[in-house]
Amino acid sequence: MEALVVDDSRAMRTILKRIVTQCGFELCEEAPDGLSALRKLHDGLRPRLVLVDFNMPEMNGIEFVAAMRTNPELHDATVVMITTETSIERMEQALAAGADEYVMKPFTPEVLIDKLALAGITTTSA
Amino acid sequence: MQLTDIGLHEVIDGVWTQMLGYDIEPTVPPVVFEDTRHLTGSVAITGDWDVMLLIEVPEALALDLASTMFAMDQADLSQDDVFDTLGEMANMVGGNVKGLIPGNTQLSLPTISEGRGYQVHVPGSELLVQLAYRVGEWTMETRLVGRAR
Repeated sequence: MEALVVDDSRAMRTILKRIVTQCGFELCEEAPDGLSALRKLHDGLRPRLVLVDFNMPEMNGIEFVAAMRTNPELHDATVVMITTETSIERMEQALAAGADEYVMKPFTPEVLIDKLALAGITTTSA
Repeated sequence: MQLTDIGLHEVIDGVWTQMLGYDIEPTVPPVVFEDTRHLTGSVAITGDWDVMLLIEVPEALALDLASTMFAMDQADLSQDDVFDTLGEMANMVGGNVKGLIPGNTQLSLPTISEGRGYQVHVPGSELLVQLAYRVGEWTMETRLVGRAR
């Protein structure tokens, strides 16, 4: 299984990759913004799981998710927004764009692992 | 505005304690860094309010934070790793603070300042909340300054 982590913070990408690997994903690609992530998908990456930050330079998380969902080959990918955004409106925008779940920062590894288990993409739970 | 010392403390505790596993103990602000090399991570929350969130830490604590987040020895960290870590700390705290502020606001990307003996001022703003903490052998401060439009 492949995963893709999209966040402008390398520190956050490192934390997320650690958790994703712990959940059994053999390969975890990363990108610092939505545009770079789209390029990876364009080049053939087909992740089962995509973890996406909201606020990023170049292309934000909502724009990225909306763009990736236009590709039918990526309809089955589970998209989880990893965000500090707490407003209902922003959450609704993310879900309307094609996100499946969201996790609020700050989070513990257990919260994310449980969320992934609930989404049915891992059997691991914290 | 709903932002209080308690509200900001809960956000800080969530990031430092629950996510990163640090023990933080409230102390009396302000923290005076004097000639100690220190760093400031900041984000702006703009819109119906103009607010700046500032996290000020000694360099040694910034290095410890980066070592924790990257799970790397301090000797292997680059300056960019340290800046990135403090920027993400400011982003996480600022993003949650944004949720405590009424009205329509946007969160900026983080910025980092570093040096010795400097102070950060935001002209025309008032101090809204100021909290200080002991973190291990170090002390850090989080300030929120701003004004309604």
